[in-house]
This record gives sequence, structure tokens and C-alpha cells, in this order.
Amino acid sequence: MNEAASLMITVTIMTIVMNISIAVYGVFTRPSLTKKIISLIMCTDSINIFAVIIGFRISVRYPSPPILPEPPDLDDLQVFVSRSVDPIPQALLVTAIVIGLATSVFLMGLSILYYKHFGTTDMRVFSEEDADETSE
Amino acid sequence: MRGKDLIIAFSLASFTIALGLILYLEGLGPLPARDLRFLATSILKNIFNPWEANLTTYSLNAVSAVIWDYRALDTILETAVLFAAITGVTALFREFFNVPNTNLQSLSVVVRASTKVVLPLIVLVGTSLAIHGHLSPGGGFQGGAVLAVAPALLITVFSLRIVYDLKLKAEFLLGIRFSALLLIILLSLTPPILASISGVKGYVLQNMGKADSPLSMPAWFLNTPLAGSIFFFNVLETVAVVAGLTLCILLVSVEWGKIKNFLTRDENRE
Repeated sequence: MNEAASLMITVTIMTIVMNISIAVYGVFTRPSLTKKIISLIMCTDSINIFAVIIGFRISVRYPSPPILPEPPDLDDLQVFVSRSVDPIPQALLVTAIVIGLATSVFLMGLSILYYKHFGTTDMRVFSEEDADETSE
Repeated sequence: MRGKDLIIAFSLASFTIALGLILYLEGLGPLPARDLRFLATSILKNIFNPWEANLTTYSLNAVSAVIWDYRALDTILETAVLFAAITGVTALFREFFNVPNTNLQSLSVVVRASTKVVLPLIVLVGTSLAIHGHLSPGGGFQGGAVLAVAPALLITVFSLRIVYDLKLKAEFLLGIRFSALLLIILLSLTPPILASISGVKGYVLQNMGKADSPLSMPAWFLNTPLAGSIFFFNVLETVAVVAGLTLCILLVSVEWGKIKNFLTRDENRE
């Protein structure tokens, strides 16, 4: 059981690493602002999933979420501690996701203004405009 | 051009291999961890533990307990980051609500009818996530994010005319957001203020009573665990997130409407 599970997790981690590098590629090389934002969101989400995996427990056969179903007694608490996954990465991610939502709205607003000014979301137009101004 | 592509491919490949190697060599420790870290064990043991009255929070949801009790100061600062992002959007679109009059067609009747069915469900789920955040999966941030879907859907389906019909004002939403944030800060300062009045010790962001401080937020509501300040913080945070995100969505779509208007006008001129 454990070997299959660890193989699954190795595959997942490899996928996440590749996802992060594809997202980095998108942010650095795609000229369109929209595609840059999409890549950035991809990168954030991959890192979020990675943080959830850090908190997972592989030694337990059926790990439970870090939530008690009802007010416990001492035995319930023992079982809960022996089976539940790590709540700290999840707590950090909750805020990260909502802040990511707000910052991506901000970035989209910026690109809307860029589009209004230049009539396109292509970043290269901006540098050409810049070059024209300096040559004048 | 080909040289540049080669450089990009090479650097991406080395980035991937380096990151993979770090993880494979357990640079972050064994992944996933064989056993719980000490901090996580202690948190899980103490979230609902009336036998350890100095450390417990009376919250059934460990994530909410971490967010609004054990690491509440972090969360208040993260709320400030969220606030900064929303302030950025409002600063970008300073000219509030000059909604263009053209291009205000809503989508087809099928979409509108099904939206009317789905919308109350979204509101219900969001509210339930928010007010049960200390009992079941959910919390202030999650409930707020779900509830903010409702205005986005409304604007997409019924067009910006809905903003007129509902008489939504940017200043109103900003006001709600400001007052929710102020209440969060006020609530976190309540224990020390009360303590200084009654002459005992009290701490900022204190939830349950501690060994040297008898002050405590209500732990039970009738026969349901209330988790003290966690419940109130969850509700206030939901209000703040909903107002802030609605404002962002509104401003961005107003600006987008203007651009659409501007573009079609140019086409007409030609």
C-alpha cells in the first residue's frame, strides 16, 4: 500500500515541478499580458497544491481532515491526533488563495488600462513606444 | 532568435532538474512527512480540549483555530495585504461609475432564468461556510470568496444595468469594507480594554481565558460550540472579503464596459 502511495505522490510532485517551470516560462517569455497573468495564476496554484502535499501524512492508512466531527472526549482526541493531517499549511493557503484572487483582479485591471492605452495587450508595443520616445 | 530559444530551453530544463533534485534529496525533509510535526501535533491536541483550558480554542475546525486564534496576528496582516490589493484596484479606477449606456444587453433568457435558480444557492452555501467556519470545513475567507461569485455572475448575466437597479455605490462598498476591518481591529483590542477597566490582565487577540487572565470570549452558544472570537472574526472577515471583491469586480467590469463602448464607437466612425 505504502509503495503505491509514495509512487503516486512522487508522480504528483514531479507534475507540480513541471507545472511550475511551464508557468515560469509563460511569465518570462510570453508577450501577451493575459497569458502572463494566466501563467502567474498557474504558478500560484501549483505552489499551493505543493504546500498541501507537504502537510499530508503517508504513514496513516486513512488520513482524516483536521476537523473534529463533534465535541470529543480524551479518546477521540487521541484518535484524531493519530490520524489527522497537518492543519498549518492549509491555514496558510486559505489566506493565500483569497489574496491571490485580489491581486489577480488588480493585475487584470492594470492590463485593462494597458489595453485602453495601446489597443493591445502585447508587452512589446510598450518597449517600442519607449524606444521611439527616447530616439525623439 | 534560435540562440535565445536555446537559452530559454536550457535554463528551464536546469530549473526543473534543480527543483526536482532538491525535492528528491529531501531538502525540504521527507515528502510527504512520515509523521506529524511537533507544532501540528500540539495544535491538533489542543483545538477542542476542555482539560487543557489554557491552550484550547473550543473550535472543532483546526484550520479556523490556527487562522484566528493561534496565528491571528498573521491573519490580520494578511487581511491588510488583501486590503492593499483592493486599494490598488480602486486607485487604478478612480472615476467611479460612469457606466456607459450602450452595450448593456443581458444574456439570453435561458441563462437568466438558470442564474436566478443558482444565485440563492450560492448565497446560501457562502453564508453557511462563513458562519459554520469553526464547526465544519469553511471560514471567513472561503465564505467570502464563494459569496463574491454572486455579484460576478450577476454582472456577467444581467450586464451592468443591474448595478443601476440595485443602486450599488462604490463608496457604500468601501464603507462596508472599512467598517468590517475596523470592527476586526476593535474586537482584537476588546480584551485588553475590558481588562484595564476591570483591573485584571488581558491580551490583544485573546480568545479563551488564560492562567493569569480570567477574561474569555463566549465558548458556547446554547449547546453548540461557538469558539469565541473565531466565530466573530469569521463573520467580519466574510463581510470584508465580499465587499472588497465585489468592489473590484464592479470597477473592472465598468472599465471594461467603457473600453467596449470606445471600441465600437471607433468602428462606427470608420
